[in-house]
Amino acid sequence: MLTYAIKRIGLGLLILTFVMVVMYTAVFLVPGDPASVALGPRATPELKKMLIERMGLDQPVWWQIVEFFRNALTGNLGYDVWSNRPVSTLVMEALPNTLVLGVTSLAAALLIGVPLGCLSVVRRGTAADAIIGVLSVGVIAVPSFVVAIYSLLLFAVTLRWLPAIGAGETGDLVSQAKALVMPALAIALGWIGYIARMVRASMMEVMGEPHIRTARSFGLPEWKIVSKYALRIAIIPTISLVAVGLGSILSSAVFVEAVFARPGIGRLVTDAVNTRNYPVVMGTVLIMTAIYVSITIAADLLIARLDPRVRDVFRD
Amino acid sequence: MTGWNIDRRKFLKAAGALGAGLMMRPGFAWSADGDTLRIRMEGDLQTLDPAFMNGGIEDVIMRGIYVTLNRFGDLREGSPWAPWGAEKLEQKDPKTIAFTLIDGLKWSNGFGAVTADDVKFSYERIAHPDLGSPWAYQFEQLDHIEAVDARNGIIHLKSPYQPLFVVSLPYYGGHILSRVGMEKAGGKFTTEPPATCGPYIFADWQQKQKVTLTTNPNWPGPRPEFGKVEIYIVSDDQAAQLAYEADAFDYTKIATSATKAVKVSPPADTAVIEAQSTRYVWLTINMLSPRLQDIKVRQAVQYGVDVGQILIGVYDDLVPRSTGVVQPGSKFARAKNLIEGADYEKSAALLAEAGVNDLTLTLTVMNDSIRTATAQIIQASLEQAGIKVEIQPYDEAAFWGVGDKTQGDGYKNIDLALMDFAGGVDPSENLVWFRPDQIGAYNWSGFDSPEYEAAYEDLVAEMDPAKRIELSNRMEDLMEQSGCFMFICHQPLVAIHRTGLEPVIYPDGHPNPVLFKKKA
Repeated sequence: MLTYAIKRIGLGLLILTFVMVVMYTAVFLVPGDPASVALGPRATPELKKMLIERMGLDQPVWWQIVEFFRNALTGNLGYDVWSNRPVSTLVMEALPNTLVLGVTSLAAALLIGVPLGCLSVVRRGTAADAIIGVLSVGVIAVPSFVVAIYSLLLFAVTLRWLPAIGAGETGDLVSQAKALVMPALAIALGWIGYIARMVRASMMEVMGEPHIRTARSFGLPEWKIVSKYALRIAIIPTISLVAVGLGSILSSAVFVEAVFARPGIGRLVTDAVNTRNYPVVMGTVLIMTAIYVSITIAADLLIARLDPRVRDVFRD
Repeated sequence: MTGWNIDRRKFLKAAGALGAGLMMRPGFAWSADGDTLRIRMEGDLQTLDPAFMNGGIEDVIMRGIYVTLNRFGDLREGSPWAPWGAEKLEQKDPKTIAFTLIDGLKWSNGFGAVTADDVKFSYERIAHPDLGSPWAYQFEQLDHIEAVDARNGIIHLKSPYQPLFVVSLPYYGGHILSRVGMEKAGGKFTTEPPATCGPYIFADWQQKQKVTLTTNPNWPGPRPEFGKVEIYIVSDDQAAQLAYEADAFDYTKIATSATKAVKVSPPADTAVIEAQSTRYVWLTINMLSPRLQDIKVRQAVQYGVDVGQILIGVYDDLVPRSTGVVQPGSKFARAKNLIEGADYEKSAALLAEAGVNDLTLTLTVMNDSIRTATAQIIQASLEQAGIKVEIQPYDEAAFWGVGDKTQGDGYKNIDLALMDFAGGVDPSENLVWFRPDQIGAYNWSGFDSPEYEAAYEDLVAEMDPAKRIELSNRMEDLMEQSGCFMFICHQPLVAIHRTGLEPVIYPDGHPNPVLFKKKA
């Protein structure tokens, strides 16, 4: 298990380095002049030159990449070109909002999707199974921004139950929780359907296996067979799906943060790309990639822990 | 097989619970009380140093936390200026302006009284080339400021500069900073000003979410009507409109495309503001392009563009066609365009005279929906005149690089470009970008007229309003006659607000919450 973990972490670091080099190169291949964007129609060539020097853009790209990694290793992700604030501070101010949104959405999707999938299996062939099936496919098909707009119209504009914008007042947990409901719903809804279908399909396969038949022959109640013996195996593909899907959840956050005017990484990086604020783009991508890679590694390790065959294959 | 069913009792229970929930309509306190003004802006702040401000929310905040010698009134009333931080602001001669600060202006953080020396420090700082402020041009004619005593000072100009009262003093560069405060801060700051003095205090900032201003108890000027101003940051116009309908704020700009629907069916307790902003839109026709060096070909393009279709198709007929870059309705605006409307036959005849067949031009445009729609109408319109147009969209950052001579000779190859600039109250602010020294910077049409340059120099020095009108009109005639410009419109400014408010909008289209009033 330890060797497996070390290999996975090594691969993760390699992926992180590769992503950053590709990103850095891509950013500099994209046409656009950050100085003109920042200074607008008032810019003089002297001012532009001054700003380009301040951003380090007059240096060769390879030198900029080396400098970025050297500084990143010491925790320095550079400075926002326009506000001169440390990128790490900007990211750390925005990151909690996005993580809270992502984790809440994911938790909601799992807490609702997994039981629905199980219920479908337990009640297979019934009206409940059919309804869950139709609803699941239905919600998968609805994009998160559509859910966002309609939930905004219903809960904020018509009913006025929930706040339309923002992440809630600082230090007021109730206000923050209320501000989280609609954005989390917008992201989670599609995932609930997806997870329910995934769990149902895996579970149907597992339910036909000999050890389940044996459990039944011992007269164990159906709920116990499902929750204790079938789900443990059937959940494995869902864990992989959720880990990989985190990237999709974070990209959905970009739209959702825009609709609900919610501060977060999505808005930070979108604004930074639009203004060619390179240090913020690179710092944000580095941190988000690190988080994504870490979660994927954690999911791999969890799968290995749940399924000895994975460890065995690796040991061989 | 287990069936799924629901009995009458369960149904009634569920329906009752849902109904009760809907009836309760808890009405949580999203709306602020009567002393709080909630407005929406599009982007977050980056700096509170006037020398490096980007506009937008920073502009709104700075009107609250700093003081300028004079200020503008509402855009819809022609943006008249009036003294603000100065009780007296007097032009002694074309190169000398005397001012007296109002009594009792005091810096925060114990930095003492606001003095004429602070005014001297602030303006001379921004004008100094070493600082690298993009707003230095506002004070390019400043020679020096003489601080006579604590409250009195004299502004000395290098040469007469009439636009000072509307371009420099009430605008970005006109905000006064504390000399002592700045020295203590090491000469620079970004989002934490060492000292402020304005009707409001910068009370709180939740990044990319909200800025809160509260009244400054030490402010000696007229008290703002709202004790607290909350500025919400919502980038998307549509989301902002929904949030307004959910009572998240009291004032917001809305998308032009939403205007008709809002006018037909406005949200409850809402008034709609429709005005022409100072942002002017035009089609650049580049005389440096090998395909457009013949004036007849450029004129063929001018006759081939149906501006009326753009106004209907893109701007819902909310604004009239502009007669130049100067805002319609102002005394400086030209009475009419020299080319009154599209004439495809004339366009084709001009091409034939120039001996040009199968003309294909590239139209450079920023890639947002409004500009792209405008470009498509221009494309369709010119197609009718026999000119093929290929649209080349760019995002904002890439767009500005296209006409930049520091990035190569590409600027000479632009054929057509759809452009828009934020203008000002004085015509010189809008006309400055078409001077010869702006070729390869912001004059993308290569328009190079010695008469225009001479007229510009006269315009900024001239004090007689009638002569200034004549000069600015002549300059726009020269622009149009060159075949390098097709004036389209000044973009509409559409905003919605609660009927209990009387908003005041600055010439740049941003609200000035300091001057907002409550309706009796």
